[in-house]
Amino acid sequence: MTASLLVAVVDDDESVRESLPDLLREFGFAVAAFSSAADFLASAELDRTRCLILDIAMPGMSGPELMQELRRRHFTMPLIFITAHGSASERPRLLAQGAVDCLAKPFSEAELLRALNAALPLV
Amino acid sequence: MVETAPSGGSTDPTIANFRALADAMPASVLLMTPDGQVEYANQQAVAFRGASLDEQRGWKTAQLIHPDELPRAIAAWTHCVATGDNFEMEYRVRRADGVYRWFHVRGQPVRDAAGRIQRWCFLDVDIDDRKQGEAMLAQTLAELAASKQRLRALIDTVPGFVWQAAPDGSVEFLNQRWFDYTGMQLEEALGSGWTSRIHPADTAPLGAYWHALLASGQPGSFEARLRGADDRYRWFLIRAVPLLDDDGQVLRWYGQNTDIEDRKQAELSLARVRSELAHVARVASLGTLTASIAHEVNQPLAGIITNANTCMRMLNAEPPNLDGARETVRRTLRDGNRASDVVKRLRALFAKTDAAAEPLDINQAAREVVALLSAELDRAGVAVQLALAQPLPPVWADRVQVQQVILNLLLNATEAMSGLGERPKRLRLATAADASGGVLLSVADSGPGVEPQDAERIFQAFHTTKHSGMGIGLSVSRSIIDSHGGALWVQAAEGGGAMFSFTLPRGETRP
Repeated sequence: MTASLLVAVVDDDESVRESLPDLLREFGFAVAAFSSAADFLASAELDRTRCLILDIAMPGMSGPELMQELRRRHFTMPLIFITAHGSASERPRLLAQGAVDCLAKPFSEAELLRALNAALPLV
Repeated sequence: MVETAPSGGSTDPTIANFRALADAMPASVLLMTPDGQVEYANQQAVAFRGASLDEQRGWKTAQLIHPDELPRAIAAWTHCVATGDNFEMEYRVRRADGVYRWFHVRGQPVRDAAGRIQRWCFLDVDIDDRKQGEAMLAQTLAELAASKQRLRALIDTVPGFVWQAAPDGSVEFLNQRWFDYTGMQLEEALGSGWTSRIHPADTAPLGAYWHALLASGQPGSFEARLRGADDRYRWFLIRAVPLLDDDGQVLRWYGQNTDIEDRKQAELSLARVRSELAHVARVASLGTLTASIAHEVNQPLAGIITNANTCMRMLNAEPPNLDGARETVRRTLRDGNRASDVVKRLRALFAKTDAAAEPLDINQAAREVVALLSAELDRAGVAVQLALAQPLPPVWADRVQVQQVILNLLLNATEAMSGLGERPKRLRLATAADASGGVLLSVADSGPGVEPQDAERIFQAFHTTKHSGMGIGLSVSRSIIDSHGGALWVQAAEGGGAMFSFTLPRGETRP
């Protein structure tokens, strides 16, 4: 793993914004956390983000809408969706649209690592 | 009065006087020979019968007597002639125009010094008007008796108890149905004896109500259980109406008790069905809310697992990152409590409880819910303002159900303001007496408000405008308030936001 890789987290839930970056940092990533899609799109980290972990249901722009917006702007970073609503119904559609994975909260460390490995195979 | 035998052509002044006198009498006067033949008739007799004295002589007048009375009249007269007894009888005599009129006929023998009958003196008094009156009276009495009997039969067949009481309330009459139902004897039931059949739980309230009616002289009604001869109780609607005199004083009380057992049973099963339905509605809402419930629980669980993983890694590091581990453990505890709170809240909301109405202090109920939610409200950054009116009448309601509604409204308001960011999140819970004597509770927020087209839809089951969070069923809240006889609605709050309000009727009204 390379410390310079930036993983961004976009989730409106504060406990996820606190806990997930700490774990990702333990994995060795650099992390930036945002509470909304708009904050992320407006941030300086957007261009440096190598992988985006994003919540599906958020006030304002939702996770899938953020994906569309990034595609429209030609960003191609891999996307890992996380959701507290259970992923069964959303997962096939999101994978078909190019998402790397869709994890149901609460997810295990192993699930997270598997998704990150799929997203960043060279790491 | 007549001393000598009057004869047709007599010039005796005494006889002339007698005739003048007899003619002046407002009655028929007849004189008869000892053997019973007419020998004199005054002018009234002549005019009435339309027959001259000659035409009436002998036994001829007999044919003027009504055939119905004639045999008795002949028998009586024959007897009197034979014995010298006085004659007295009422019979109809035919007038000249053929109309029969009733007469009271009295005949008395006039005797000489030796006691021998010289002649009979008859006085026929027209009593037809009196007879007519008597007949009418008799007919009226007969009709009255018949209608009394009909009334009594009617009263006895009315499907319920009919009673009558004195102004002081002591019962003077009860119809047959009462005795059939209770198996009581008349003497047992009169006065206040009937009250022994009131259900013990209804005795005091019914007694108080009855005395209040007696004091006020107003009609009224009350529902109470009465014990039958089979020792079972049935519900009755007891109605009492006073009969007033011209001065407004109660002359008598009339009452009717209607058996409403079937209606009561229907009401009870309706209440049971409603309770079941409320539970089903809650469970149904639970189904639709599963996603949001999962969301609510999964968020802290995700935090817990992620923090625990991080903690493990920090502790396994060389050297261990103890400060980091401590922080992750703190967060784990916090998220654990958060998950626990969600579960507790759910348990309170979805526990099946039978509606148990009790006098409820709405302010106290509201304060308890706010206390329960204070941590949640703090976490959400909501500033709560309580505006509780004092004093408020107690309302008759199920504490748990009403608190569920208040809880739902507070959570919904909090949820509605979650997207406000740094703008102030204000929640105002107010209570007041409402115009109809009940209470009103409102929860106003400073959120985006409810679109007018959504103002009714949001109360429908399965409707939610939310993407996440606990969309606790407003439809369930409304059904709870409805079942208490109140109303729940939404309107725009002052300064934007939504204001949900509900009313509950005052304490005396049982739901």
